[in-house]
Amino acid sequence: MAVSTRLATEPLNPASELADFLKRRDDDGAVVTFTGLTRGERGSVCTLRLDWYPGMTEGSLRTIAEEVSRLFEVSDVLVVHRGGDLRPGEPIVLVAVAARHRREAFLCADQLMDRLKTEAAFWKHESGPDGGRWIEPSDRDVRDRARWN
Amino acid sequence: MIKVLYFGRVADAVGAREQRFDAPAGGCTVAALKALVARDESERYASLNLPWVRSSVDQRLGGDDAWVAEDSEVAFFSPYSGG
Repeated sequence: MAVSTRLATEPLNPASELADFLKRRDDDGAVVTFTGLTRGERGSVCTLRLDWYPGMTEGSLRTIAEEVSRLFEVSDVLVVHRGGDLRPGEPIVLVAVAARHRREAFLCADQLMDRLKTEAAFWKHESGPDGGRWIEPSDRDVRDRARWN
Repeated sequence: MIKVLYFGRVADAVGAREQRFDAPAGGCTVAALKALVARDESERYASLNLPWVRSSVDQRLGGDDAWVAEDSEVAFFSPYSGG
């Protein structure tokens, strides 16, 4: 099994990431992908900035991907996460999971996203017409994460 | 020389992202480093002692009793936002 994680500081292209991930899949029956987009919150967010700690943030992505992928019968896992400034509508994260059977791929991608949303070492700051604020995981994010305990 | 990094709300409160301090001979604890950092500007660095502030030494999470070597990299930060 290959687990690949990457912190991207340039715009993320989900279509090209997926095209690469789909190659040489003769023994897999499923590829599940998830693309997270930057929400504009109906005009209240103009820019979302993701600060990261070089080394530590990449390590957190790798740890999450490795731990979750060990829990499911999956073939390969890819996590690409943006850092830096993002505008509403821009892809912020891409998760792809390949497996022999779809159920394992769905579950693995689902748990990966719940862990990333609460544990990835980023500091998110959104700014808009009314000023700026730091973001922390929502109650819903925390509840989603707890489903896997 | 100890390299000190700040992230998230802590960086805003301190008004810096990175600083360097002369290390005490032989190193010190994170608690002692906080005192050293705040020595001349206690108000500016008051946030370092807030209960939600986390720290790492050479990228390993730890508490106030973690040991800081003379050439360590120490980070103080608010809880992760997640991705």
